[in-house]
Amino acid sequence: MHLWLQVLVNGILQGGILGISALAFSLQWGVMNLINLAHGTFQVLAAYLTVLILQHLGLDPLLAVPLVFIIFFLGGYLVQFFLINRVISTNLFMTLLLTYGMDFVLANLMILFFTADYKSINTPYANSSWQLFGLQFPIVRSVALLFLIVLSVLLWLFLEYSRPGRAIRATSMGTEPARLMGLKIPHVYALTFALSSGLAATGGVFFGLSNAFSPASGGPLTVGAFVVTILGGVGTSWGPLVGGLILGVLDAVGSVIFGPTYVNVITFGLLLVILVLRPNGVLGRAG
Amino acid sequence: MLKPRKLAKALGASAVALTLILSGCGTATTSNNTSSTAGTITIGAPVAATGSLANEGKLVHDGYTLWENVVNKQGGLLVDGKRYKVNINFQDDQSVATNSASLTEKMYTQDNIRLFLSPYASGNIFSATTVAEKHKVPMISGGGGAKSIFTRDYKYVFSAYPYSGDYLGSVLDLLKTQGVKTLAFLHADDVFSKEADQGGEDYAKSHGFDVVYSAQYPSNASDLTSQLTQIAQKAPDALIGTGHFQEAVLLVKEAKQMNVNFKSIAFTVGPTMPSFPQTLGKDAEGILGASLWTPDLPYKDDIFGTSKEYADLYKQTFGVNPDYHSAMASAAAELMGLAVQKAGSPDPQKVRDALAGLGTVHLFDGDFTIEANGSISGLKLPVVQIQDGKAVTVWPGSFSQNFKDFPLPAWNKR
Repeated sequence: MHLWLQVLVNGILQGGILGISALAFSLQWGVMNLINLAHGTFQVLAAYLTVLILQHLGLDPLLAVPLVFIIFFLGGYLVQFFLINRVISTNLFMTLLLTYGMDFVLANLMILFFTADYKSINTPYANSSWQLFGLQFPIVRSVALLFLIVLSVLLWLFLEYSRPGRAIRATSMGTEPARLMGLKIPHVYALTFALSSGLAATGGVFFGLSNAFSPASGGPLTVGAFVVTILGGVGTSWGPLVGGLILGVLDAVGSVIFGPTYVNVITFGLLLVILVLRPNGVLGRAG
Repeated sequence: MLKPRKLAKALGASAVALTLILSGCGTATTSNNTSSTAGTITIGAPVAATGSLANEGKLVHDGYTLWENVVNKQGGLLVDGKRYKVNINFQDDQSVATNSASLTEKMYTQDNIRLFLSPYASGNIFSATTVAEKHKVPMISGGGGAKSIFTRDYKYVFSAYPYSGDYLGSVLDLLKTQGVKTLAFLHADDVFSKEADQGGEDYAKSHGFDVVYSAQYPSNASDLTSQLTQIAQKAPDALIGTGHFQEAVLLVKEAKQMNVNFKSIAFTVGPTMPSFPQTLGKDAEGILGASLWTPDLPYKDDIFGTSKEYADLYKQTFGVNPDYHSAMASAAAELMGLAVQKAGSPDPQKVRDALAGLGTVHLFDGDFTIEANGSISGLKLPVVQIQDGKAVTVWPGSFSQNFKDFPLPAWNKR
């Protein structure tokens, strides 16, 4: 009994790590129909940035989250405005190509600056846990889940009630009507990418705290975010949370029943089932 | 007097002739282009300089190069009373196994090379050796030791590497002396990790250990907490992890997060690399690593001297401390040198026969025996332990005096 309770906790907490990584991916995809193949590498870059901030400014990674968010927000705005906006209206293939290229360039620049050696963000609490009712709650994973819930609420409030949030939603429903209503689409897109870059970077901090990473670690993160986004439903504020939890729990329980070697089978099998039965995701509206 | 056009023709013809003569000289395996020596022996090596294996490829490249430098500095290889310079012809296989094969083919047919040292990584060696065998020219592995390379009844493939399945033997011998009884095994799903794990588990079972847990996870796993929860239920004395660097780090981090304690933890990959204690800090203390060579080992030979002298020379030449990848590569190159000397000629068939008849050799990295299938046996593998942020040799023999931190302190007592 204790084993299964702990495995359930492990799955839920892993869901937090998966979900926080998918928030940004889902937003970009939902609003701009942009599948960002550099997503995982953005997160790795954020992890490196956090290491630098810790080493040079002595700022704790969790306290550094706002700073990392702002830096990536600004960087993301510029990348979208000057780079991705140039191809986004052509077709999906062009944006895939561009973000794939960005991924390549970023990963190799990181090898240049940080070498190919593995790093990890080391803080006294990074490997510690809280004990509750005889169950272990690793601090970083628990805080990540908390962050995911708070960020999901904030994102929902922002998209639902703020002016720029409504602009983003209007644009996601159709660029032409939005433009006719006086919205400046390139700026709305840049704002969306800025926001999602900040969110991606936040996920990157937690990834760096819970894993060892190298410049080449981005690929699996992008794939994970992709699966969670489809599971939860593209472009929904709560999708990443729901998708992350479903995937986290199923992987944890499945890896104990069938063995960890079948985790990928479970993950992608689930993806297949969802694509067939609910192509718009668990929370997505019928298309 | 020649007209300008005829002059140009004549010059062109002589240039072509000259090129042919020169290229003829260059492609010969031995040639008289050095005044003080009888010629040069060229050895081909399709080693990765780019791609995913570039890092280890460089270590192998440097290992081969160090042997080349030392032999040439000593006046060359003494073969049948004459001195020959050695020259290793490196070509980049870009980390791709099919390139390792096609480059070996190219070096054989176009560059007339008849002796080969292997690329890095078992997969690449597997494919390059098929070409060497086809042309009946010897290739010695200085970059990997998967058993599958040696179970094809090949006659021209030799090695300086032990089987991957032998890596964990020393770790288990050490744990045995400490009274460890129950073990949990976790391994990644690539060829090397599977072979090393299987060898380790077989060795454990035949040496009185109780394997209470064994599982395979996909490479690049980012969460193994549930496996650690399962392992905690069985409360084994030691955890043996066979995978990649990032998974070794992940297992230590998550074992601490889940407060799963072991008397001992050992990995095949991770602790031998300086970035392991750097990444984990004090949580890395006391963790064991299976190694193939360390500078502390008490062996020596005529080319490099002792293991320590090898390490010093390497540091002096390349500016960094040697890791076992380089030492194993240097040993493979040394084997080639020994065989050529024993054969009394760089003729590939004679060198092959000499390699097959070398028997037990004593090199700076240890004593081992060349087996009938070209693999080696008897190499005593060292074990390292992280102590004060450094990898210290704690096995075999009297090195066990250095062993400490047993049982490992609980995570919350560190």
